[in-house]
Amino acid sequence: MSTSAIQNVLIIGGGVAGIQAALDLAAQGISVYLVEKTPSIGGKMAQLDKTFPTNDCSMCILSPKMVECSRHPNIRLWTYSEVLDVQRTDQGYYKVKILRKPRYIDEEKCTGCGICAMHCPVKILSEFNESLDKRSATYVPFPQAVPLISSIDETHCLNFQFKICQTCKHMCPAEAVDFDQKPIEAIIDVAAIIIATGFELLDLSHFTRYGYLQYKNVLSSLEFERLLSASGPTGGHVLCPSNGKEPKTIAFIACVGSRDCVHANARPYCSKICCTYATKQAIIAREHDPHIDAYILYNDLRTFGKGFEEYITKAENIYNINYLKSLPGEIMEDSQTGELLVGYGDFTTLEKKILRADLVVLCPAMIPASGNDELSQILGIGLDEYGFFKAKDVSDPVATNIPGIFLAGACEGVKDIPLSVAQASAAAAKAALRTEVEITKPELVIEKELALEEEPRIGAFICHCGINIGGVVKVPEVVDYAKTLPNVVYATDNLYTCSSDTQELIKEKIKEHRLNRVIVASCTPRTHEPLFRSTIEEAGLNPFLFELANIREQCSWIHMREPEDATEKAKDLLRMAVARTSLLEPQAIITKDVIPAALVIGAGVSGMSSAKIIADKGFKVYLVERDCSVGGFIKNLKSIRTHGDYEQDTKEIINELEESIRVQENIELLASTEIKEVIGSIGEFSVTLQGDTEQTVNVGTIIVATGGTELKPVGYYGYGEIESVLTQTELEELIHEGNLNEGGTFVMINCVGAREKEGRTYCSAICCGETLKNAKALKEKYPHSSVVVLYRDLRVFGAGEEYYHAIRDSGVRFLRYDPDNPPEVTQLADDKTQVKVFDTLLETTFVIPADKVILSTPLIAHNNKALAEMLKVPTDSQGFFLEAHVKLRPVEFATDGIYLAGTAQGPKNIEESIAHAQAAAAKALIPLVLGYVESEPIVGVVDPEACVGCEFCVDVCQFGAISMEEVESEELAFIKEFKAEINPALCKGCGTCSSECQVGAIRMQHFTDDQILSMVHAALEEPATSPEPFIVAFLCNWCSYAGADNAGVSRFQQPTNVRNIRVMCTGRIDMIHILETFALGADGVLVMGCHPGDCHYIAGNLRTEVRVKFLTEVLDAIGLESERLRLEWVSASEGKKFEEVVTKFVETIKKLGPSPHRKIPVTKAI
Amino acid sequence: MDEPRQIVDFSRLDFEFSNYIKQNTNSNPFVCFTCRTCSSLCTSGKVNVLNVAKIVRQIAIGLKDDVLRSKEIWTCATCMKCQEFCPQGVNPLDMIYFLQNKAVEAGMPTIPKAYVEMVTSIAKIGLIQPPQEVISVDFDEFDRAELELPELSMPDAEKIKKNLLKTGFRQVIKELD
Repeated sequence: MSTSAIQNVLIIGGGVAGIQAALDLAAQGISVYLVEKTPSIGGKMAQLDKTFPTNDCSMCILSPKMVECSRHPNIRLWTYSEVLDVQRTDQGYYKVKILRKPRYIDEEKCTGCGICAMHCPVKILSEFNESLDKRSATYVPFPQAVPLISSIDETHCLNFQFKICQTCKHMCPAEAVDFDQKPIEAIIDVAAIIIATGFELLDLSHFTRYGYLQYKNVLSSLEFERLLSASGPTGGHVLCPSNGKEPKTIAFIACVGSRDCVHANARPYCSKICCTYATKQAIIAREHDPHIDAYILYNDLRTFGKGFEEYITKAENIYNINYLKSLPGEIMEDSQTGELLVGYGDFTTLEKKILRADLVVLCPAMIPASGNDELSQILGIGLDEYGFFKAKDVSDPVATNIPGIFLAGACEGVKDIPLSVAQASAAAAKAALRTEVEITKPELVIEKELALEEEPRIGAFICHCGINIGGVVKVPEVVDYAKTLPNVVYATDNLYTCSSDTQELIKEKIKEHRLNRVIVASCTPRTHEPLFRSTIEEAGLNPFLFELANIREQCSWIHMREPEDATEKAKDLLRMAVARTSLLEPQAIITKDVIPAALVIGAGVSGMSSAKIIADKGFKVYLVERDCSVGGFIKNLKSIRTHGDYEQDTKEIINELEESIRVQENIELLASTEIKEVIGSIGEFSVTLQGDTEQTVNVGTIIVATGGTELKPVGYYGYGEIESVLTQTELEELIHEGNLNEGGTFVMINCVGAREKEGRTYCSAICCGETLKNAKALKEKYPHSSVVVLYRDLRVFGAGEEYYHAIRDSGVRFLRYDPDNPPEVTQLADDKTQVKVFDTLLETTFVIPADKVILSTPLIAHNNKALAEMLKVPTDSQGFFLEAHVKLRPVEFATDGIYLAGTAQGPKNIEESIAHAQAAAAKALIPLVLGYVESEPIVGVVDPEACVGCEFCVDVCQFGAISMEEVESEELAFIKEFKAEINPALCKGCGTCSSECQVGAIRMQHFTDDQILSMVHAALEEPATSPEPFIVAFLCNWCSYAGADNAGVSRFQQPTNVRNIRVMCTGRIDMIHILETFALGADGVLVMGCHPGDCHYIAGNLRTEVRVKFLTEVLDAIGLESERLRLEWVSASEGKKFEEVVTKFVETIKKLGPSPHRKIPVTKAI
Repeated sequence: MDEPRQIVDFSRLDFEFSNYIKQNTNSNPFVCFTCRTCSSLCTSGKVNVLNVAKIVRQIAIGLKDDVLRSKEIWTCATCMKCQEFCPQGVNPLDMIYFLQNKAVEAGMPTIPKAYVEMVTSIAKIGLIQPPQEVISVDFDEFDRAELELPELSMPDAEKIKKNLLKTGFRQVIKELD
């Protein structure tokens, strides 16, 4: 870490936005101080069970990023710390004073074992579980906390309050408790500051009419989220707090404290996310228990984001969620039954009805974090009228009024996770422009050094982990056993193998015993593998010659009452590790140079914004535009409604941006030019451009910013036939020209060609705002005209709500139509146009003579097919480009080196587009700044002699890493053959191709068939004891292995019959592996992976599902019952589920009895 | 879809009336965004035909006559909950008062008899009903003087009537004569 200001950036707030910004900056080689006031990073997202619209497990997708933050050498994680003071220096840097609050725990010594918390006598309400559970005064906030270190809460600790107790100090096996710790004030120098302090939820105790504190079964949405979570207080069972029973009816109430411009305790803006997350919670609740009736009471159903509208449709049609368009005024309790009475106005009959619910979930307004006032004073940056931090302007949406201070996420205003993440990357891009760092390219490992011809000499270090392992597993016995295993030349035990003195010991022993491979039997590789890998690397060994045997999370912690069996299992796990380690090979991290230039396709607002950032960082940018001028779609608009409730001239925005790219020498604008051909991959793309002449440019990265366009609604409501039927853009032109009649009637129809049942199913999110803008303009220019808006749900958010209020107030009338009974537009004999519409709110049909009928149409994708094929990137069902992950990778493609900016990804407003574009630039800059890309060493390698060119692997690879290369036939030179080739720069290492290859031509490095099978053999051929049943489980690294760890951290006790084998993805699990496992006599095989949609390699789990299904069907051919093989989806937070699956499976297999293929007789029936 | 209840020609809607309410009362029907908070917590609406949200919406659209002719506006219990909790500042109660006045002014036949009787009584004796004797639970009558209660004071009925007639009640409530 560097102390020079110009190399440092401070990030305030460790939620998902802060984490993303930190990772993006660190990836550019910049030193990051990530300051978080609570004991762990993770923010609100860590509390969520699932995320919409994919229902991804929130922790599964966040936790790897949290762990990466703690491991990254460029990130200094300062949790439990606060910013006290910021001074701007003469050079434009910042001197920041940070308070590091005492945890009263030595961070270096604490291992996060949790023993202190177990013995702490104090029990107080848990913040993480939203007071639905208790924690102790000495505590780790949640099992996946980063850093995984205890803190002592001095306001509740008996030692601090009454000078008694100190139990934790006596119990801590690591002697980490230190009651004498003092607060530390640290001063750091930074070049830029990113604020990512997030949001809070409105305090519901003011809402007495909803009975929030009065009735136990009225919960806030975040409380309900904890009830849904597998790691929550009920283990993921939805139960009523009043009686612990399962609710039959749940009512979700939207807009609690939002969209209210009257009451002091409420907020006038729309909180944007509630409709969608209420839908998510309703879906998950029904997935937990299909008997639950879920009702969502809303005012306007507002879902802004890609795929969200389809999500709502799915909720309504498939999950049978009931949507009621009515907000209840009050909630009462039926004192007889305890049911909650929710009054509402029925949509179709206008009747007043009462819904009897067992549980009511209130969706409170998103409000600014409580520390914003103080922080704004310390930093000198402005707040908006609601108390959120104020962005500079529309074309610089993450900047503030002070240079060098940027905004990321919900501290700037209401937003969802994808936008927060995009904004975080954008803020990182802007902050990085203020830094200068020198990049040192890692030394290349020369192929020769990799050769390892000696016999394996393995050293095994077995950890007591205080009493965490040693209290259950007889460690000395395991050490003695280790010494008997083949290739093990040294074995010992350590109290804490992870302590710094043990690292020295390991290095010493490597030298002393000429060890060439090392095994540590301790905790999970997910957290500790990097530490030990760097230790052996320092001792001169290749880091891939290391293996961890997980005897804590997956042994001692889950078999606490069976020390004998746990010890036997630990021996098995160790023996399996030894077998695998003997076959490990050194791996090289291959680097590849990156051409220091980028290509940006499309010079609209997004493309120009992306290009500017990359060029400002000092790289050449080719900005290619198909049209003859820059500006993209918004050239067609006169003004644009921005984030707040003000309008801005589009010409000004375009001119300003155009000017800024013209003066930037690094940008070469190529107008009237199209892309003709793209070859190569990240680091070295060669792109042929066709303008007046043809030319080829070489670039390291590519940004796709091709934008979208307006639907011309031919065939809808007489457009194209009736002269007076226009689009909003055409109307805007007429208003501008002043060619309309004063006193006329203007009827606007929303959602024309959008939110359809089939085809264009999405909501374009920006059209409602456009409608309001033009309605306002009409009323201003022609005050005596009558403007009628026919809408379905009026979708504006944030300050847009107040804009909508003002427009209603101005006399614009709104009628709500039913898509099943849409308005009719007819041309009458006298050339007048008439609109007939059934207003669902009054159940009345209105006949409106209209001078103009204006259709609000969605933003649609250009024809992106040709470009998508050239770039080998996917598009979605609507023709927009498809990002790598909707939530956490909104500006990236699955293919490295190609990024996505603005409306090419889906409809967005202008600030969102610009933030998105700057985020894409941040990603595209990482390889450019580093100057090299490192390829994942765990990649597939094709044996060209074995490859038959079937292209099966090409189809299953989700990353475009496999291509078919033409080679000369071995036998006859004039015959050309095609062989698969894997580009290591693009391969992510899931291993699906290897499992799918029918001829075994693909070898998956570090997870080779030999290595995997060696563990199977070791497990089954000579076990220490052979319990009955004996089960082998294959777990994917990201979800199920993490789920098994979670079960361990949560101490969910399980049978000792299972031996786990970790692979990166279930996609790696070949049919051969499973069959061999059965052939060797396993009584059962469990395959566990991520839930569909959660796969870290996009779809590896789905391929496995196909293979396991097939195997299940043919299992009886080898005399086995199909129940002996099971595939289960277990996420990283589903520790409880993991335990249940294992327990149940063991029961099932027990009933079936031993496998007929058993080679080793049953030595012990458990 | 069922056959719609009624078809209304937009050109016949009375926007001026809605505008008048916005300009001259504390109520603003236009800003209503139809959340129905008012109707769902309406005290009277729980047992009566009153649907506040519907009335606000009818006025916002310009369906003046439908509202003035309706009996609903007379069933309001004036508990003020709608006014208290409306998130957009529509102030439905003030609108209902105004509508009641306008209905009287327009001589709507839907004005409940009880209202007329009360007003008539006020005009005649200055009170909504004649004062009762002191009665026990068993309907035994007592003399006020015997109980040493003061004499009942009666308002100046003539003065009240004079002022009441100034408001134009005579035109609609014939009983006043």
